[in-house]
Amino acid sequence: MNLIDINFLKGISARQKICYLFVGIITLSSCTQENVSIEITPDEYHTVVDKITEVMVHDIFSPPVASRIYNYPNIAAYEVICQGKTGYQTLAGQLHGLTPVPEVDTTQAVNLKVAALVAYLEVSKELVFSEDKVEAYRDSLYNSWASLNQNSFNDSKLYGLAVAKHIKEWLSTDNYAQTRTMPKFSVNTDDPARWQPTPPDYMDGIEPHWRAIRTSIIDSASQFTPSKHPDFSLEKDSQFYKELTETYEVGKTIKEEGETSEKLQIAQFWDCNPYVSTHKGHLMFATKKITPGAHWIGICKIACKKTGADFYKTVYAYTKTSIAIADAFISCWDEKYRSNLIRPETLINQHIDENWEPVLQTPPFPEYPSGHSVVSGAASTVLTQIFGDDFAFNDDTELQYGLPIRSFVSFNQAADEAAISRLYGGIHYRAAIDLGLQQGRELGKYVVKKLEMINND
Amino acid sequence: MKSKLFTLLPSKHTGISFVNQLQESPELNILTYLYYYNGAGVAVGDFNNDELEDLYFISNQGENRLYINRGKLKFEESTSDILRDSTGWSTGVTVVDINNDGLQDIYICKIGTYKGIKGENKLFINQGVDKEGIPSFKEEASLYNLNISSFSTQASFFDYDLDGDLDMYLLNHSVHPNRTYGRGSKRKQIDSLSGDRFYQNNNGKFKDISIQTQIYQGAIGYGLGISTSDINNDGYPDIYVANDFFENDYLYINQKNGTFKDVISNKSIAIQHTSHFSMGVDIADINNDGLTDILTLDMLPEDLKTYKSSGTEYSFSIYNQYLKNGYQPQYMQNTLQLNRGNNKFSEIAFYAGIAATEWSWAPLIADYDNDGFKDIFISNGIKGATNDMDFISFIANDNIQKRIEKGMNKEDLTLINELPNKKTTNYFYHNNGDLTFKNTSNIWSETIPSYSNGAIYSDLDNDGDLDIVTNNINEKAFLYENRSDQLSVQNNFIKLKLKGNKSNPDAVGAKVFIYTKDKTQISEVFRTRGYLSSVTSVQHFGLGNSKTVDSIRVLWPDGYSSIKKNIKANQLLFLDIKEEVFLQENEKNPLGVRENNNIGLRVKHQDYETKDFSIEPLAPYASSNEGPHITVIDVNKDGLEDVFIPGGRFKSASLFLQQADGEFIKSEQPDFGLFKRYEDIDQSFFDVDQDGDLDLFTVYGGNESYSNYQSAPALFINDQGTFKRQSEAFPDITINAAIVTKSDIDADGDIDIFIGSNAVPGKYGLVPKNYLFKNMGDGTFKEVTSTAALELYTLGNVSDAKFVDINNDMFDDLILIGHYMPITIMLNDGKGNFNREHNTSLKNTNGWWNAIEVHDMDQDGDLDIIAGNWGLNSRLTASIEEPIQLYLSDFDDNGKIDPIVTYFYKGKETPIATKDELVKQIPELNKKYLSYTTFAEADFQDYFSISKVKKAQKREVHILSTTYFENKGNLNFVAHKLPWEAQISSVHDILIDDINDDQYPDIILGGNTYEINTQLSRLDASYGVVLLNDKKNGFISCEQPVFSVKGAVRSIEKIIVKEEEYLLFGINNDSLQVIKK
Repeated sequence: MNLIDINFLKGISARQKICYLFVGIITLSSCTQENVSIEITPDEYHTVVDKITEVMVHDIFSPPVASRIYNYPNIAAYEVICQGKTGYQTLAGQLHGLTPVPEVDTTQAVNLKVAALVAYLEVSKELVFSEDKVEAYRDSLYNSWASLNQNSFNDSKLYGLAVAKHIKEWLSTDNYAQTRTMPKFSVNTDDPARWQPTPPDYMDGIEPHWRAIRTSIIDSASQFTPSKHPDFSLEKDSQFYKELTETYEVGKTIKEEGETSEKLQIAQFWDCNPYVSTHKGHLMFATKKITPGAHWIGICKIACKKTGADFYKTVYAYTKTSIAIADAFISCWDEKYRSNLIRPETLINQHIDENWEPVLQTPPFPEYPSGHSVVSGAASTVLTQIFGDDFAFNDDTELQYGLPIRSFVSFNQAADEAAISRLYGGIHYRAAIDLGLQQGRELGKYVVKKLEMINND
Repeated sequence: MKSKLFTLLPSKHTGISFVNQLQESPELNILTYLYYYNGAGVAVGDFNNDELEDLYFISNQGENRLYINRGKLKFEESTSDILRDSTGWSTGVTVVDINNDGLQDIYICKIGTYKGIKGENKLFINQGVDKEGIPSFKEEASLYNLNISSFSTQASFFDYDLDGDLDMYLLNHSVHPNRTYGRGSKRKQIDSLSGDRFYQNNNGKFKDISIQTQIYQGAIGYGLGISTSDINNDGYPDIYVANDFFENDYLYINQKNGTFKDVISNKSIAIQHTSHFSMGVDIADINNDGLTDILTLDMLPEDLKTYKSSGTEYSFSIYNQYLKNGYQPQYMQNTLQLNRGNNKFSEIAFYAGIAATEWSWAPLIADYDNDGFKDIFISNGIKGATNDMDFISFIANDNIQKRIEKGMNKEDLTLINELPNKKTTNYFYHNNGDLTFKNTSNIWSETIPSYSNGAIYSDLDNDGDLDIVTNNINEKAFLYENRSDQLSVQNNFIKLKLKGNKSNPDAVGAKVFIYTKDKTQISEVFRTRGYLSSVTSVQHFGLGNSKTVDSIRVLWPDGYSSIKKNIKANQLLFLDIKEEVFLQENEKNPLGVRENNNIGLRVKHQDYETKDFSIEPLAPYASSNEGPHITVIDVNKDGLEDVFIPGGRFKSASLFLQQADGEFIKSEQPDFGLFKRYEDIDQSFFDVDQDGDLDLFTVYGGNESYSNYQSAPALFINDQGTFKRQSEAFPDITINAAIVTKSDIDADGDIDIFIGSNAVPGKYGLVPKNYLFKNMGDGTFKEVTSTAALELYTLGNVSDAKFVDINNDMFDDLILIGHYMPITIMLNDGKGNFNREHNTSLKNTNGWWNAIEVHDMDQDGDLDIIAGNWGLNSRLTASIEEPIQLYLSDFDDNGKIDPIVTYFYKGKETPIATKDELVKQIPELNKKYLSYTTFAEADFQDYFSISKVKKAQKREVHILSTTYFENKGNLNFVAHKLPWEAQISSVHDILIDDINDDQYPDIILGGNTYEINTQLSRLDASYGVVLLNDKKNGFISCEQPVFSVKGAVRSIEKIIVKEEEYLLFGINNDSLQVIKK
């Protein structure tokens, strides 16, 4: 019994104590195991994030909805670690509507890292569809933790669930449920500039009311409204038409260059479309990939690993990045359904070349601004603040989706490339990229300025 | 065991061991050729002229096989090397005596150069028969210029220009994955490989005259089925082409000048909608009215589980966008286009009960039980159901896609096996003789699932009934022996074999009329029918219990008729054009048309775009296409009837004044413009201010007012012909109105008003208030509902109402109908107070009622009720035991009521909305049922928590038929379903009038609803209905006049112009139509 730390015993109930004592008397070896503290590495956090990404890909969530599914679990985990002397301070009072999470009972054997993972999984489970997949994974983690230290695990779990409950209550008031039954985007109009559903599935415009989702840190959905795109015009010398022609021509050039085209590779690398409808012969199926937000979450992981960020910094980096991404989507979608601009594929097919197909499949929502540009602008700005500019990295995020590694000298360079990839992909005009990137970067700067996460005292 | 009509004979017995065996390869499989699983054809023909029809089976990739019929359904395989012909990829087959030598030749279609395949169509010329009765063949396609290399589906031979020889329509198909539908006008471009072609026979040389005939040859034609018939009885053969995917089907009417005109794409509105993924097609007369009807097949699952886990139609708004791109309405369902004469068709597959037969290929319409009505056989089954939603969303991803991208190898082919197999039983439908069919698949035959594609019928054993043969994928061909001769009920038959002119020895194009005591049957000699296959040229008729045929008339292809009288049944008759007795009569269309007659009233109603499904995605139909309810009244009291036409949203109402010369002049009414932004719904003219002229009272609605566009009813006072808005006289109560009607309810000498409402804007299924307004005697109105008729507030969604004295107490009572509510009578106590009469005979009459008329129909002195309903021509059914149910509850706790409408399908309750539609509104459902299959397997009651379902407000519909309620006295009503014409579409207005001047009131109905959930197809089969009173409490179809009112009728009014009576039809979003009575 001398092996048992007396402080540790404080945290467990009398009944458990008896149990442990009993076990300890019988076999020394098992008693030794009970004593092990549960070590959690940053990699375990990465793995949990990746696992939820995998479930999200399976379940199929649109990019804005996916950004929401990254945001809340990270915030939950972050709020857990803020309870310890980790150097990070709570977001309660900073994020709209977020009140302080329950305080940790220091008399209990709570392992904050375990609790953070518990909270992450619990909140994720609420947000995805395939709860069974999350549960199966969670249970395997729970078992391994319990086998290391039942007591510490129990307390950590209870605390993690308490924080998760708090976050779930908070997220339930963000208007997501209400936006489900708001009117669908009405396509049936004769305005030639207005967005129309695009081939091959002609899906309804997704999330027309995403602007109604509560923002995390920015004041309102319209705080970073970009300047107006060039006026719709089919006059040959208009700015709009020139940009339309540029998208058309770039697409043509890429087709001529073939598989080796650098622009083609860039477009494909940053496709980040969670549901590409593929038609082969008589077969139709969904080719599923991660979203733009998920790609930047992946870059965050690369940066954390490359810098050897500890568990807490890892949670911090993910959280800050996902807040920026989530708000960027709300900001972007606000403008998308304000301008309701028609996609290049529709216009080119109508007016220039009936058989032109974009390199990428046009996603089902209005054109302006480019979602990937806004999100990349925001995420790269936050990551630059955390990990510094001139941060070179090899981006292997898309490896498992059959795409190669691309190398970048900085987050900003990656964001520039992500943005322009939409032009190469034939799904955007230049203004959506340039102004979208600008919108995202301004939003990112605001997030950086406004969020106070590092404890300075 | 009771013996079945058909027996599937084992190959041991028949000697037929043919299998259409597929051999997938990395180059050629369902991923590289989209029609890899479409199967192949089979042809029947007497190749050795022994009066026993032989069979020739096509194999897609392997060797074709010829089986010589040796009698008693024993066949001898006898395939010459030439006939084996396993080159390339073969599809359809057609039998034709192309060189007019009395020997049957064979034309096979193939895929041209594609994915390593090289093929061209083959023509096997019959060289004659040897001593053993074996025919030999020689391939001579090039001699006839028919060695065509394209993506051929099947050929049809017929004489399109009546020059005596047989020309050829070559049906081709596109091979592109259907990624984008693009513009429909692409059909006007020419694709040399996928586009269809037409060849003219010039002394045995076939010449491509496609351009000259003006057929479509575009790359968007996914032609899978072709059938021909003289659809309009003008003596010239017409063509129906069934196209897969987004492209319209084509109905080519022969213009008699060497050209064809497609009446589907060019909006002649002959056909209202077609099947969407059309496959096979057959054309024959299913109701013995002398007009041929068209049956096309699609892939709508009959099985509910398959239905709920398969791909669905586009949502309403996307669907409309697709129509705007140049396509006509198409829905995933079989369609039965009932030929109504005069180039009009009513699509009645749901009414007939044959809309859903799984993934279907060959329809064959023929009288299988010899009862005198043509039945239906349908082959079906698909080896790889590529529309399985779980496969599309979840299964394919993990397994297939990455590998396909990298190019497939042999091992990857096993992945194709992940595709769900839908082996299904072929369908038999017995014709009930009343436009409905009974599924007799398991009564008439064993139910053995298969992938059956091409199929033929023929009396193979010459026993007087039609046997059926199917060509199956990866399985031996089926031969269904017809054993009608061994059944207890013995029906009679007659068979005819025609011999035509020298250049058309099989008399292709001839039409046969069989007259027996109670019916006339017709059939046409066209061999390309069904799917990829070629049927017998022997014409077969069942005669029921008739032992003789009164007469047989043959209308030969050259236009001459011959006749034969008093023929004994149960024989095969040979008729040679050279030996027949000809008639000198002139062929004339027997049915007259009541011509649409324009009286100078050219007004088009314009409705605002239908946004209901964006706001209320779970609503089964829109509530915003209600107008125009026109009013005919002599407004200016000059003895001439004038016409008031309400305007849609953003359109003003208009008043047309009739002039002495019969012209109509629009009256300038500036104040009508004040209410332009609201949709005028209904109006009433009466003297409000008691100054002797007619004032106007208008109500607004149309479910357009969800975004604060609500208006209270408006009163316009007639000031010497100018209607001026009077804003003080009427309470400022906004009402989404459906109807206004008037009466002096309290017998105080002034006019009071009832306003009914059918919807709470934007909130499908909620109950709006209805209102009663009392005239205060000074031209102002006061709402008195709460004191005089409180029940009106909660009665239901009222769509029509009438003030009539139904109980003969001298006071007007109120009869109301609507959706989710019964026919309701509210009795006037004589002081203007109304109390609901709890009428037991009308208790369970909840419907989706749209219109009501109250009239003494049987002239017995009391008032009867005619009520117009949704009709019986849709997926939906309703009864007291199995009602349509509306559940109103906030299922996902987001503060908004979700209206979920369910119906019973084969005894199981299921929502109308698809899974995709439901989860968009209630994402929680995805947590329970992410997989479509689990969703499909679950009961509706399990979708939500029991407490939610229990707490939901529930409303019901028990009856969907348009019905005549006969008053037996004392308000005891007996319901009589009106005839089929009244049931094949929705009815929105009723006019009672004595059409045939027999002093008994007849019924005129108008309707159609286009704006309904796209999964439900649409209600468009009505062209206006006239039902004559048979004076025995029944109503019978009226042959004359034949109405052809096109569009969604919302009101019918009578008007007299220059002493002639006309009927005005107010059409939603279209021009007013006028028919002379």
